[in-house]
Amino acid sequence: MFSQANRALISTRLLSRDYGIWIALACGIAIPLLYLGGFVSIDTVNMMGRYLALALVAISLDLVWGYTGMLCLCQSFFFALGGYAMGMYLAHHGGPEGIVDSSGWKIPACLYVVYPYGVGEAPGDALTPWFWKPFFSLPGTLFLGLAIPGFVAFVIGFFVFRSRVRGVFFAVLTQAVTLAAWLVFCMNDMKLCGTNGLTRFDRMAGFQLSDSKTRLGLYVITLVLLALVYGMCSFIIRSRLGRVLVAIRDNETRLRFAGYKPHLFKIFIFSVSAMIAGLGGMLYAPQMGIFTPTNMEVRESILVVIWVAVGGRGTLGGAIAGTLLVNLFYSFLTSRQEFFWFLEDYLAPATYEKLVWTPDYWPFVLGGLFIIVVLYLPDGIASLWSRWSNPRTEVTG
Amino acid sequence: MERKQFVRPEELSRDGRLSSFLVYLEDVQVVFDGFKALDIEQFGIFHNELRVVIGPNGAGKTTMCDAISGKTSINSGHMFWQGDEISNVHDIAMSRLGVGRKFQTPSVFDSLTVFENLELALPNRQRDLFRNLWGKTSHEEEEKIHQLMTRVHLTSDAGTPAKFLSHGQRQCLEISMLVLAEPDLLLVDEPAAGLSDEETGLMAELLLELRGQHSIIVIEHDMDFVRRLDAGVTVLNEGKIMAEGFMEDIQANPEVVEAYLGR
Repeated sequence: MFSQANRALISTRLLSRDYGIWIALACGIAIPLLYLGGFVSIDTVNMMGRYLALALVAISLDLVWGYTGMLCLCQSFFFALGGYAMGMYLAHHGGPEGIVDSSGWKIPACLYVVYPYGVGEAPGDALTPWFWKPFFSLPGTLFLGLAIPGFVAFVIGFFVFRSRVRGVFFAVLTQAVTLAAWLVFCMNDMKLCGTNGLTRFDRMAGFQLSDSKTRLGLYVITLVLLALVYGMCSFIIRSRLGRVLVAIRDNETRLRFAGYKPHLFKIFIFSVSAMIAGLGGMLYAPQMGIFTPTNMEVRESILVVIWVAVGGRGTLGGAIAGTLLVNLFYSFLTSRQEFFWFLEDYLAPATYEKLVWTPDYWPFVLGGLFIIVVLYLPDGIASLWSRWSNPRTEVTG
Repeated sequence: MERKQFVRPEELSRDGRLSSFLVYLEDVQVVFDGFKALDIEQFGIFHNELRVVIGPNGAGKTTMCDAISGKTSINSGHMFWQGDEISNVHDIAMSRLGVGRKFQTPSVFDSLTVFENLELALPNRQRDLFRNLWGKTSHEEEEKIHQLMTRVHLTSDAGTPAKFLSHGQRQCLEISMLVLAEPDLLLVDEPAAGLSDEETGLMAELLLELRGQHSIIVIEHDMDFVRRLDAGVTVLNEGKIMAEGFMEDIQANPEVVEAYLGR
């Protein structure tokens, strides 16, 4: 029967290019097992946990960029909104104890240090700002960490997509939003701890963050949530709505003449993507142990673009694989590596020292990687498989 | 086939025009940077009429389509849809009213398969975001798509992304998407451009099949194709309607011959 054959064809088309998720899942499960077997340290598990949290941000960008065709440069802002939400919760419950304001609220230590006292105010009569208070409870934080980025994206999307801002203008606009937000978060007067960021994290839901069991637990939670988000996103992508998104990418004008309102779909996917990025931030903060405005720099947004481009636009698994790959490269190549160790005995120490890999070279590797991907692998590493298995490759423009 | 008398808008009273035309344009002007791209006194399409619009390059044919489908807003004048004013109605709303549009260059969704392209064109699916998220294509709808694909010889390519189709196949796919949406008015811009003889024949057959069920405006350059459609013809020149009638009358019109052949 035609329709079954056709269905099968469509689903293989979507699945065959998305093997990245299986590799990522296999690695994700292998890491804690290796730790329990004593092969890797808890720090490695922690690092992978952070990268998995970043993979959520990559997925969120892939939804808006890879599938809907909107290059968005404010993913790091949404990430930071989630991260700040969780960071404020952790700061509330962080050390040291004892700084209590006149209304009985313990002022978070990181805020107390950089508290912007007004003229005539004596150090010591500071109050915990009202907007810190909802983040005292974990459920409230979890809710707000998703709701705030989602709402902000809804507002941005409402105005931007209705006025049909598209393409490079959208990219520039979102970049400007990120920059503006970064400047705001850097201000001491905002009572968000300025450039110091949120620090002095201690415990989460009663568990000591420095405890290796807590860190392993956070890793597992991140992995499970990543798998759930992946499942949710692939449900969206495979639904008819997903096809509408791809249609927006291909030919938005034509879609309007078919009676669709593209801006509704764009606002929806933009908000969903912001919430996923916020979730990534909430998982990143406790594993990083600090959350500062550096996490929301424009640079960070562009890094996400590189992860997705390397992994493969328009494949969710590719976005995850790209994030893990680039970040693992990063952690490997930003430490001292003696690639030419076999020459050590033959060269003068000064000459040998020049051959030693230093972290300074990393930006060149990253830039080179990006150029190679753009020129030779426009669909990222996720397209390698279909290139080898099927000569009729798909190349997105 | 019994041919009806060609009725010009001037032959009806204004109320008659409003009530009997599906789309009626009155004193419509579209101006681009001081250049009058379109300047139509009266133009109407009856329900279920097939009308061919011809004219030299730059005559305003595509602009007329743009105006009716709401892509370009008109600078002055009035447009009516079944007697209701639609002068300021935008593209999405026009499409929902029942205007389907085929563009000059075939525009389909490249990364989607033929089947998925047609699925998107199904009527009454566009409105609700969440119906698209949860909804499934029903068996009847799939059957309908299947029949249409058989009709335009695209069945074997049902799972092929549209970017791998030939130009002719893309034209066929786009017109199938239009047909599937069941609009009251089809605006078909150069359906035969770049088609092989065989495909041109298929296209003419398709349009003739649709006649009587939908109102259709076809813009075309290929005179053989126009003759095959055997329909009322409107000649546009420099934004104005130069002549209207059946092909024989048009060809006998010295003005038209001059506009086409040049002075």
